[in-house]
Amino acid sequence: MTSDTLAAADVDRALTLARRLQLLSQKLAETRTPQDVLDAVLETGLQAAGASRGLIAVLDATGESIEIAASRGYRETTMAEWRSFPLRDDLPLSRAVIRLEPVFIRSQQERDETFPALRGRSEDGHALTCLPLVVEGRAIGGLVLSFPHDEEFDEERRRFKVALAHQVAQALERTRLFEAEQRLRQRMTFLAQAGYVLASSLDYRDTLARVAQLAVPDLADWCGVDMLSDDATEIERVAVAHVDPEMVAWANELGRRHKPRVDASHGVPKVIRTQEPELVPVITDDLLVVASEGDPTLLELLRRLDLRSAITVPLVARERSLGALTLVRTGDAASYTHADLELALDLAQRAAQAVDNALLQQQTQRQADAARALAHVADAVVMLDERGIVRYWNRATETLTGISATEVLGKVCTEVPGWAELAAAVPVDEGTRTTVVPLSTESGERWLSARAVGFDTGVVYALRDITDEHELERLRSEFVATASHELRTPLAAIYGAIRSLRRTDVDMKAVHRDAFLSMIETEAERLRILVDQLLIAGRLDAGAVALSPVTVSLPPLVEEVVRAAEITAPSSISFDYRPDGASAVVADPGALRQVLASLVDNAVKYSPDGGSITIRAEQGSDRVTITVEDQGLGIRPDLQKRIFEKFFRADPQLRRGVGGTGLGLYIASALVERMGGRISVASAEGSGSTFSVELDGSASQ
Amino acid sequence: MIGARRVLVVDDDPAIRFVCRFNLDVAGIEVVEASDGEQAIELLREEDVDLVLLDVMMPRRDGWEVAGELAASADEQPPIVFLTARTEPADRRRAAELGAVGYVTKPFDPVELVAGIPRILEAVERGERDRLLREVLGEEP
Repeated sequence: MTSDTLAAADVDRALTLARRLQLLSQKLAETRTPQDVLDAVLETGLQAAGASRGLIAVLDATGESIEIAASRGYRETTMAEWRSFPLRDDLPLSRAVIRLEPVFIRSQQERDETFPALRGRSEDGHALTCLPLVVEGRAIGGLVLSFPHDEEFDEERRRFKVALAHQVAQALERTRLFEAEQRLRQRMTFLAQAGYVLASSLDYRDTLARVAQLAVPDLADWCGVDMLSDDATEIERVAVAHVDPEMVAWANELGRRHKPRVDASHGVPKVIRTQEPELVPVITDDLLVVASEGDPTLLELLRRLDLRSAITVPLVARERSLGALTLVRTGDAASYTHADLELALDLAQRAAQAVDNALLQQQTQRQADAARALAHVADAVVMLDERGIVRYWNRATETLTGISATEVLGKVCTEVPGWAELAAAVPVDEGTRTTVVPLSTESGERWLSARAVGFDTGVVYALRDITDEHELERLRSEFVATASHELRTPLAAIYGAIRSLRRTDVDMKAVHRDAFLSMIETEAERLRILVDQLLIAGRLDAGAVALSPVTVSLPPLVEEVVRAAEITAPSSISFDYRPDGASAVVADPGALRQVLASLVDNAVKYSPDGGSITIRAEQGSDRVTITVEDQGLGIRPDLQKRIFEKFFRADPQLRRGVGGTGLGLYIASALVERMGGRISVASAEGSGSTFSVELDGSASQ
Repeated sequence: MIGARRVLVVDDDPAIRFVCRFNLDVAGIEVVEASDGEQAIELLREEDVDLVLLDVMMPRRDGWEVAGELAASADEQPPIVFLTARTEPADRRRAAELGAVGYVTKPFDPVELVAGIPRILEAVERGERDRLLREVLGEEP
């Protein structure tokens, strides 16, 4: 062979190698997974390098051992022995990886001499090269090529193989990055989806059910969520999802029949208790036996579920265990890894956060609802914190006290007008005791029915304004006292007269006897009137007074009333009726007589110094106004409106001795109103009063 | 036995005054009448009486005022027996505070009332204030 031909052959070979390298480079560029890379290298690369067998090994995550990722041409038994081994300098591949230098071994003899550790453990062969796969100065693994012949490895070949290894390393790294990116992208997508699902509902059960659904099938073949009850005494399965919907029923059945005990030493209860996640890469039958705790039915169920690998992560929010999320792979699916555990932890953290948010939201919502309700209740509600500072002051309280919330919120309650006295008077308990207390306000004294409930961080006062009821009650009891007095006075005269008449020790003169008898007669009549008034007032209240308006001729009716009054009135009082005005009115005769009698009686009572009582009837266009005018005590302007109220008496202490039930004017005004008329009073204190009754006067014309 | 020769009856109700007068007359006791508090006070300035039968609720000045006026007076005053339709314990306490020696609620037995006068005056004479007070307050003796 001439040097020219040699040179030509060299050039040819170099060109061929270069083409092969280029072809490999193209193929590698298309690879997406480490397996693709291996396939490309071992198909194209072996040829390119002239090798017959080859393998690619990668450093594991710890960087302390090597795992064979792919191989071609070696016996399976050999590969089984070398699947994974620690990095040791006395092995050619290890040395290449550790030293970042290619190792070229020209023959088996050289191999066995240089690396005695391999003797007898490796296949027989010839030349061999171990090339480090280096990326950015760091070994990620190694490439082993075995040749079917001894080989000198000249400089050019060595360079070619190093170049080959370089390409492989780049491709491998690229696919690993690509895969990692894919995984990351998937993970981000999953978590984004989870985030969306978690945020989409405030019903946490609903949320958890959807999370479980989301985890299946990408993350698990089945997913269960267990929640700890509020009192931490029970664990309840709230969501189950399974790739096979039929299995959901199985899982639910399992959950129902075998409620986990909170204190169980393994599984969900332990994770909830310790807040530590649990990863079981491979679920062995032994584990199932332990988990079934000697319950053959449970063991049977568990075996049926065909469990392979499981992750249980705690749902923890604000350091509190809410429950646990369990992911399970079944059948021949891949085992869970730490990466999966981390994803599960991330998911659990988000789910726990969402559940916590939902619970907080529910609580806030309830509080907001309560606050809204309180703002609208008719009772005044006030909350003081433990330092007595006003924290809540609802609208009813504003109305009651005339003090707005903005004025008092944040203030110490004793600075609020009237509050110190109230707080002192109302005992704080569970709100069972009601205390009636007065409260001075700008608009006057109000009577309150008050309750105070103490709790951890303050006191809540519920106040009801019972001023009206209190006043009515006061009037009523005063009425009972007055009625009693009014009834006792004629009774005293009657009883006194009878006791006197029955005296046997006295020879009574006829004139005395007659006086006592007419006294009995008169006082009995007075009693009758009183009792009638009480009855009428009661019937008016019950709406049971039926009136029949007819045309009533006024003069005879007024004269009858005056005559009756003249009998009982003191002689110092004179009556003056001028019947020259209106002559008729539309009214119920009995009711009208009652009204006028009341007004005349009232005029007499309020004229202790005597005087004239004048009755007039004036005709208007379609109304008749009957007036009763006296020259008596008169009525204070502030009392004039109130004298028609039930039980109201202008002089309740009877200091002036004007007795009465407080019913006369009430009955009169009620009767006038029911006849479609109007009653009013004009008066000046000390110079008499004029009562006016306006009624339908169309009959007069 | 100590008897009353002269009694003042104060009541705005003429029927009550008539009943009292008749039964006091029968017992030989002279009767002076007033129909309101003011009249009573005026009368008492000029007349000596052994006892006052005093209504509470009357025109012008009521029985409380009359009793108050007498209690505040420097001169020795006749004992007061209230004769009233007011039955509340608070009223009895008020009467006791005003120094009344008797409290009779309406309706009342005029015969019994008149027959009881000597007993009341005796107790006053003997200074048995506690016994009288208990009776005014309506407590068991």
